[in-house]
Order: sequence, then structure tokens, then C-alpha cells
Amino acid sequence: MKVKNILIVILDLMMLFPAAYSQDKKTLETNVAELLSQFPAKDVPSTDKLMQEMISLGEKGLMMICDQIIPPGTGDDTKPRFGVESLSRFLSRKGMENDRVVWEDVLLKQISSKTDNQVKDFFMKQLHLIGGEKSVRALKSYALDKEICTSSVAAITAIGGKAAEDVLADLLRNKELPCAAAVMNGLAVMNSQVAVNEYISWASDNNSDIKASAYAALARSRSPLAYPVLLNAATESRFRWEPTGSVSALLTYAQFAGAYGDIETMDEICNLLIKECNDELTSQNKTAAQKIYKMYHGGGINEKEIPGAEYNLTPEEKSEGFVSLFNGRNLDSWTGDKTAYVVEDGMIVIRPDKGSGGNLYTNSEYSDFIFRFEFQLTPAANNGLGIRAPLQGDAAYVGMEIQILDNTAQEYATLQPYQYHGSVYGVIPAKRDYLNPVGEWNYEEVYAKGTKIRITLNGTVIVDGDIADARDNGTMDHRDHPGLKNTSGHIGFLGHGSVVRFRNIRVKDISDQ
Amino acid sequence: MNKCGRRDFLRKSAFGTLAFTIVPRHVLGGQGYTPPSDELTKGIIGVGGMGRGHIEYEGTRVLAVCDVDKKHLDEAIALAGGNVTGYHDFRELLARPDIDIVHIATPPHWHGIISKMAAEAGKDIWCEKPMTRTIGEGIKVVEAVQKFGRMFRLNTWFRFKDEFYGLGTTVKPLKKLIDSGALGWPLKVTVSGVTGFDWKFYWTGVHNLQPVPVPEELDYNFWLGPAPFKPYNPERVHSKFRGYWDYDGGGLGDMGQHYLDPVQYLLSKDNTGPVSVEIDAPQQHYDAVGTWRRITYTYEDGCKIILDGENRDKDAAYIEGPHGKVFKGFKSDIKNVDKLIESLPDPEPQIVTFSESVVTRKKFALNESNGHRSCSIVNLGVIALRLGRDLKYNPVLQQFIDDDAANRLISQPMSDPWKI
Repeated sequence: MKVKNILIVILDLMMLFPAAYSQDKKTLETNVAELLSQFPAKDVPSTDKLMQEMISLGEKGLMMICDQIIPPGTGDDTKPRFGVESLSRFLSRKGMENDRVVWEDVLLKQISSKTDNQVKDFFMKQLHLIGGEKSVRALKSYALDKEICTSSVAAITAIGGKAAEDVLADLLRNKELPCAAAVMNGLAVMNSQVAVNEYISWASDNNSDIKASAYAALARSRSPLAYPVLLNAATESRFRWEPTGSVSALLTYAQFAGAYGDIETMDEICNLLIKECNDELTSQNKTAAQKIYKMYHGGGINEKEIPGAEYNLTPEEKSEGFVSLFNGRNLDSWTGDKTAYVVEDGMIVIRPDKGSGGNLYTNSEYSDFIFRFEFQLTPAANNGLGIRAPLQGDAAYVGMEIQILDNTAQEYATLQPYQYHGSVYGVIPAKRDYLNPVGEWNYEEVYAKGTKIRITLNGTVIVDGDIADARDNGTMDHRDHPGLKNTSGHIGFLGHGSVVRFRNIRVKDISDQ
Repeated sequence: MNKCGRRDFLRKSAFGTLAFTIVPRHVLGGQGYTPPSDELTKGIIGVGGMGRGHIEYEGTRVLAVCDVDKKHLDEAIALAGGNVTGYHDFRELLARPDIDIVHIATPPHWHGIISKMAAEAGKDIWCEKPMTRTIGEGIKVVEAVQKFGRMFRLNTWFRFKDEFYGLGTTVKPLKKLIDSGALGWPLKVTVSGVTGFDWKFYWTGVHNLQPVPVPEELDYNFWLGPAPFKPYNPERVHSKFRGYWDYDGGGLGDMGQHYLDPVQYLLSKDNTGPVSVEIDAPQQHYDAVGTWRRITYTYEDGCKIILDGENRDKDAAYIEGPHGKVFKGFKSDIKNVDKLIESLPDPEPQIVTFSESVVTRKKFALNESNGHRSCSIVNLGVIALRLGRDLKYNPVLQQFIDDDAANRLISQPMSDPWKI
């Protein structure tokens, strides 16, 4: 009996299921058609609502919509294209990670099952925004197909990350790779160092576009192996511009060498170009070499790059009560070591070789204030901003020091958290990684109100703390910081033996607010 | 005078003695005459309707024109007359030693690549607006122009000359008024039909374009260059390209920098940009540019720019502060505003002739740096529209905040083999 019953149940199921399935399928088809008919939606909220509905159709429904995408010229698929594109954009926002994974799977299935390259390409485009590591791995094989290579590599490049870097580097080992230039362009964007030997091998290709991409990737690889290749190419071009961009690549290589501490190589390249590039066809390279050289050896950046109104307060700052502390010409508002701190090209520059490399303080004292300034670091630069400091003594302890430091330098790799850039030295650690690359300008604001200190670097708040606890109960560095009790003092730059440039220095007194 | 020293000579001679406009060209010899060998020279890349207009730009002699459409090229050569050489590949034009200035009048998806290469080749650059198709390309152009010490001029001009659309005057009196603080701070700027501007929504694209054979005269693959491949249709190219995201951004791309660059100047924002962009727009197509109703930009200090695409704010002032407003036609609620403006100091002088920039090596009024910042406003709008969401932006780092996908659109991969 038991067996019989089971058989009946099974038979019943077999009867029921196809019917239920076709019923579901029909409903789904109706729902899909109903949804598509509403595209394009009239505004953002209704687009978002339709996207939620689209997600709720589930994987089957999404596949059904994707299956309506057809090659250009074979019919009208405007509405499903609206749907697919909008869903990718909708799911690319923060918080949509779970649904994004489902959609990524659907797209990858579409790419592998469709035969038309234009249709494949459309689905690959979607991955630019929502693709992750899984997409990168799936896209790899298409990079070997001449017809779809550029779509695949573009998607891998847009997704980026370590997986993309490894996949692109691996592709480059294939001598038959149909779009080697695009692959190297993708690796160059990542400043990748993993395929230097392959770059060198592609650099000897006869195609000048491939050469150009190989040189550009070599320039950013920082590899000592790249140097002779680029030097040779630039020399062969007699340092003139040609479509492979060899001289420009050599200059980029010098820039990267400098930024990563290989000053000797940077010097060598710049000096060579300064010596060789003297005629009408090469003088722009001399200009570039001089600029790079000066970043590490002083001389200031070219004045014409400093906008004329740099020292002028903006109208809103004027109306808010900011005053300028530096007029771009002299140090009249300042006191202290005016031998080491000099005015060059509208900037205050500390040149430790010219003096003790000591401190430069404002004439006036400030208690509560907003202090805004811009600074440019040189490799491994160390300086500091003293606040509420007396004119004598170590400002880090008898006042407060807001650290100014090239966090990326090797010699600072093992500092304490409260010693990195922006920290209230020894007292409150700052968030790291918000400095612009060495050599570029940084914009910083120091807000000090009572015991509250807030430091904003390049638009990001990196310290938002209170010194009251440290003042009363001891500091992180377990040192004596009597200066935390100061209610007023000078603001100043605290030299530590390195070249640093400052400009655009403004302050607003907020002690009455 | 040999070729190598020619530009140096121009540089060393006092600018005033070079007669770009003082004496008509047909008056030969005499004081103020510039012999052809000492005149600044140019090559024009992209000679469709816009580029052919550049032939006539005064003060320079055209030596070369370049286009990937043979018809355009032939028309330009005929129009320029004389010893003008035509090129198919812009890189051959860049390699010419005797060209001082390169004019770029291609569609925007080429502006970044050509500007950067021209800077590397030691050329000064006169580039059409919008400056670049992505923010990332703009950053690269700024870097290259400054590194190689080149002069750059973006081709819009309302920050330094001509009646500024609805304002009915140049922007100078408004700049004086704003800088004096008389309107107060922060300011709100409304750019709409009400305040005298036209968003040109006819620059929308066509959906579901059908593939059509490429005409013989056009090298369509070269025309696409860095843009992704899409089958040819005449709607995409020449006078229609603004309707497609791959090449431009519709009316916002066409008019945005004309309208917004002077706003950046007026608000003293030339070194920065907005911190947020909010949109009110229909669902956007993946290929064809659509319309929008409203785009709102906000700066860190509370200043706002409102692009009102449907003239919703019927009584909007062009610019409004806590203490005063200025409407279309320079009407103001500030008493005796004309007298007040007359009593105010003039803004910083600007260099408004590109030849002067080229010869004196002083930055042009609208250059790579402030041009990139005003173009970034256009691109922030385009990214928000295409993503269909509001965005937060850090104008110092030039990155979006908390939106990885938006950051993927700052620099976009190019088709093989192009790069910037």
C-alpha cells in the first residue's frame, strides 16, 4: 500500500508540475512585459521603483529580459536595453551588494550563451559598473578573441583591482594577444609592476601604438629594467616628439623615480634632458625636466602656475572674517627663523641648508581659530604646525604640534599612530592615506575651539577630537604635554630639516563665537 | 630667420610691436607689419563646421588641417587656400616642427587625447568646449600642459568678453558687485530660460539606431577612436554627435561650459568645485542622451548652481544672495546698483588674446586649470544623470565620496589602442 500511495503522489506531481510551471512562466512573461512597457520612467523615484520590481522578478525574469536584447539592425530592443542598463546603474550603488551578485551572474551567463558580439559587448559594458573578481576571471578568455578583445579588456580595466592586474599581466604573456596595447594601457593605469618583462618584449613590436603603450606602462613600473629601454627609445628619437611618446615616458619614469626616493636616477634623466633639449623641437622636454628636478632640489615651481588671486581671500572668506597671514611677497606677519624660511614664487619655503631649519611663528597669538593653509611635501619631508605655542621651547610639548609628514616614506614605516601626518603629536592620532602624492599641493584646515581640535585634509576630516582627557589624565605617548593647558599662543611652522612649501595661509579668530 | 629660432624671436620681441590686429594684412611693410615668417602658425584638427570656423580666427596663419572625413578635409583646404596641407592622422600634424598652435575642434571624446599629445609635442593649444569627456581626462590634460610649459585656451569666452546671454552685459560689472560682498554670501545662481539661457534639449539622441553602411569619405573607426564601437549611423557623427553619451552630453555638453565657466569665475571657485550634485530627470538611455528637469550643484560654503531645465522657478533671479539679487537683463533690487558698481574696483586684469599668451608665456584668461574645473561641473552632471542618483564629491581629491561605481566613471577605459 505504501508503495502504491507514493506512486500515486509521484504521478500526481508529474501531472501538476508542467501545468504549474507553464502557469508561472506565463505569469512571469506577463510581469516582464508589464514592467518593460513602463520604460523609460519619468523620474528618479519611479525609475528606482521599477528597478525594485525588476529585481523581484528573480533570476528567471532577469534572464527573460536579457534574452530580448538583439543585435543592432534586427529589431527594436529599446525597452529591454533601458531595463538592463538601468538595473546595472541601480545596483552599482552602495548597499546593493547582494542583488548585485545575482545580476553579475545573470550577465555572465548572457555573455557566455549569446553568439552575437554586439550583444556580448552590451552585457560586458554592464560589468564596468557592477563587475567584481568573478567577472574579471570570466572575461579573460574573450580577450583572446580579436572581435571582442577590446570590450573584454575595457571591462576588466574598469573593474580594476588586484585580480584585474593579474589577469591582464597573464594575458600579456600570450604573443598572439590581439589587443596588447589596451592590456598594457590597463596595467599602466594601475602602475603595475608585475609584467615588466612582457612590456619590454612588446616594446620591440613594429606597431607604434603597441610601442607607445609599452613605453607608457614601463614608465609607471618603476622597474630598473625599464630605464635602459626608455632611455634608448628617447635617444633614438633624438628627444623629439613622435607618436610612441618615448621622451614623455622617460620623463614619467623620472617623476616616479623621484616620488619613490630614487633621486639619483631622477637627477640623471633630468640633467640629460636639460642638456640635450635645446632646440625648437625639444625645448618642452627641457621645461618638463627642469620642473621635475626643481621639485626635489628647490627653485620653486613656475610662478605662472600660481593663480594671481592666490593670496587674496575669497569673498566668502572675507565676509566670514578670515584674514590672510601671507601676502606672497614678504614675511611681515611672521617672526622667528627668517633665514631658513624664505619667500619664493609666492610661497613660504623652508630651506634647512640656509639656516638652522627652525621655527617660524605668527606675530599674533590665537586662542580659538580656524587656520587654513596649503603645503607641498618633498620625499620624506617632516615639519609641523605649532598651535597655542610660545616662541621658545619644543612646541610639541610646550604648545601643541599638528604633524606635517610624508607618511609614505620608508623611514617612517614604523612610527606610532600618533606620529603620522595630521596627528596632534603624541596626543590624538589622525586618519592616514588622505595626503596627495608627494610633490602635489595639499589643503588643510585646523579648527581649534577650547579643547576641541578638528583637522581637515584635502576635504576629509582626519582628526576630530578633544584634548581634555589627555590634558587631565595623560597622553598616548606618556610624555609630559604641559602645552595642552595653554589657552592661547602663536601658530607656527616647526622645521625638522626638510624642504616644505607653504602658501595661501589664512586665519579666522573664533574666540568670540 | 631659421625655423629653430623663430618662436624664440617672437617671444623675445616686445609683444606690442607684433601687429596682430593693428594694421590690416594687406598693408605691406611699414611699422606694425609682421612678415609671414614671424607670424604665429596653427594647425586645425577636426574641420567640420566648427573647425572650419577656426581657420578665420585672427592673429595666426593656418598651415595644416586634419580630418578623418575626406569631404571635410577637402572643403577646409579649399576654404583656407594657399599652402595648407591636409592630414588624415593628427599625429602627423603634431610632428610638424613649424606649427605653433594646435586647434582642436573634434568631438569631445578626442579632446583629451589630442590635447595631451599636443602638449608633449611642444604645441600650444586652443581647444573647443567641453574641454574633456571625462574628469580623469581633464586631470591628465592639466598635468601635461603644465609639465611641458604649454599655453592652453579653452574656446568659450564669456568670463572675459561679450554680452553674457540673459545678463545683457559682460560679466565684469557682476563680478565687481559680487566681489564687493554687496550681495552677501552664500550665493545661488539659476541658469534657466527665466534667467536668459537655453538648455538646447534638441540635442537628444535617437533610440535603437540601425546600422548603415559607412560613407566612403569617412574613416569611421578613426572617428570613433577611443570610443566604444557601435555600428555606423549618420545620427552619431558630424553635427549630430552631441546626442550620444559616448562622444558628448547633449545640451549640457554643448552649452554647459559656456554657461557655467563664468559662474565659477563669478563665485571665485576656479580652484575648486561643488561637493554635491542632485538630479531630477527621467530614466536615461544607455546610448542616446535624454532630457532632464533640474540639476543642483552645491559648494562646500553653501553656494548653489541650479540648472532649471523646465523653467520651474518663474521668478528666479540669475544670482541671489542674502543681501541682494540680480535678475535677467541686470535688473537688481539693490538701489543705485549702477552707481555702486561704478565706484567699485575693477577685477584682476586677464589676458584675453591667445597670441599674447603664446608670445609672453602668461596664462590665458580661460586656461587648462580653470577650464578643467568648469568642465568638471558638466561631467559631474553627466555622471549623476547616467547613474540616476545624487552624488557627493570631494573637489580637492577630485573623487566621489562613498560611491565606487561613480568613481569608475571618472576615468573610463578607451578602445584599443588609445590611451591618455
